[in-house]
Amino acid sequence: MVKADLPHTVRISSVKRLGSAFALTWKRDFDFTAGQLVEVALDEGGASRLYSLFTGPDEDEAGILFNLAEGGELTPSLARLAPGDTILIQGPSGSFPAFPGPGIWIANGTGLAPFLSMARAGLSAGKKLLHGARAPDDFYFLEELEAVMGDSFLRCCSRISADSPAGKGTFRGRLTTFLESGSWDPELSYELCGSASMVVDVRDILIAKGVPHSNIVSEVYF
Amino acid sequence: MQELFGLTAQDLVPVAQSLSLKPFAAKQLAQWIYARRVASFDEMTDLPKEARERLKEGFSLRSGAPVRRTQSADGTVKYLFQASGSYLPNRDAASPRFVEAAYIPEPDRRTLCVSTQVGCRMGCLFCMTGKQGLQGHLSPGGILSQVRGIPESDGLTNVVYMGMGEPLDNLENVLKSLEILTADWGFGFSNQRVTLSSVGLLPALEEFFRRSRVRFALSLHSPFEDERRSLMPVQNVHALTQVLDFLRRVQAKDARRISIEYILFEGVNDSPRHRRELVRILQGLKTRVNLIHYHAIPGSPLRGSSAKVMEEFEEALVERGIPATVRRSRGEDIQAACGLLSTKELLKAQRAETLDY
Repeated sequence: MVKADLPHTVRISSVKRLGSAFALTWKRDFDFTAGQLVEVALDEGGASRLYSLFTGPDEDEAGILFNLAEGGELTPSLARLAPGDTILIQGPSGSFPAFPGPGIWIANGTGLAPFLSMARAGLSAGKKLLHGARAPDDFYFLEELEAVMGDSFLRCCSRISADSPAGKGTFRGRLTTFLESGSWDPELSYELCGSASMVVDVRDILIAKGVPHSNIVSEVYF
Repeated sequence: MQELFGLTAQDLVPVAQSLSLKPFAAKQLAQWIYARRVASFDEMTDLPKEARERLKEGFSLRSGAPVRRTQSADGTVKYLFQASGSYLPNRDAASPRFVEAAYIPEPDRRTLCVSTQVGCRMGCLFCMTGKQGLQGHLSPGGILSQVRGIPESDGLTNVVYMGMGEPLDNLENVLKSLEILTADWGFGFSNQRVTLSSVGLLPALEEFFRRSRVRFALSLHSPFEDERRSLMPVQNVHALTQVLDFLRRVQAKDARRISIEYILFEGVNDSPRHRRELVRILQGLKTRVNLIHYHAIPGSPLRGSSAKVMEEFEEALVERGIPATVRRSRGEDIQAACGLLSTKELLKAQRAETLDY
């Protein structure tokens, strides 16, 4: 294993399209805990970004999820990578620990990554996962999460056509609409990961419903 | 028509060359634009007439102007600027967004608080700007239009990057604006008169200290990491201990002033336990703590601490050897807390179509 936090080159194992996102993996050469991030760049001095690892800490492969940022400095190049190409990795860093005990994980888009990693690390007992996305294709790892979390995995799909079957466990509408329509236990912990808009909107809803802010922890895409 | 306002002297070299001028003319151009603040190319009298004519044909000196002015009873003035066109790259003028600047006159200084982004993606619990999400990064011209565009511009003594947005999340544009603000050919502010405030984005913070000499203020707000995590999501990514360790290392070789911003929230971060822990984590760092009264925002679970609690907090820090000052609250009657006005403007408009959840 490489000493943690030193920038080093890794060789890509796979780049897969998942709905509107991409999953990029490489052979894991560092230890990490579920919820941590890595800094990714194409080369030294190039643009770099932080991404949560979506893979489990015991897996042979490590990987990230990313969206294609139009006009972005990094993601268009990442999306063009092929197995055998190299990228520069630094980390792991950060901490987004699962609160012990029962709680709710709330993600939008690729904000699913840390929760998927936690689920793969066996930390999903007592947790409920809410994943919000525009289209049905953006519920990545659907079968895996259904198998691991069962009825505790719920999806909110904001742009599903009226004639498409939503499927069990899928709410037709926005994540925020779903949260506003329910009551939420103030004793539970709430972990949020995704865009700043989602985190702020969801946090406001939960607080308005009586959840103390100290029971809400958020990770925002930076 | 290429806009020149917001370009550094180095950025102006190709412009000078395109006019068949020597590269050093770029600095002359910069001096006319920023230091001498001319409004037309005709006033650039040390440039050849032909060059001035070509400048008029292909370039503009336009900078942004405020679209609204609101004055507080205490003299604080809040300006609302419309960010559009080249000052907010990647957005078109048909989809305007707004940023705020606050002019704060005091007996010994006249400070302008500027914004660096439209919205913000840091998601701090106490911040109104965060409710917009990130709408876009201001260009150097967009940042400096706030300095140039207000009627009090000529009398400004200090500029603080503490308005809307996280400056280090827009690093390159902010660094260029700082260069223009502090260069001899630019606005000519002393580095000691300019302060950048940040939540502490570490890689960018390192770059900032390498490339700028202005002062730095860290938004800290809780000495306990778990508690800070619920106030400031950045804590999950760049832990406070790492940021403070970096600042201690910086101070070992860099004498510039570093200050701490600490908003006092009633019953959240204002207890004797917090004072003690704050003193402990600041050991080894030469700093001053600015204690800030919280301007409550709609729907927030947070309330500002009382004046008495703030004074006690200040005294406790000073007694333990940490210089501290309660910063006087300004402009509460005009909602001068950053983001309030522009967020209200934005929320009047739609935004749901851009969301992916």
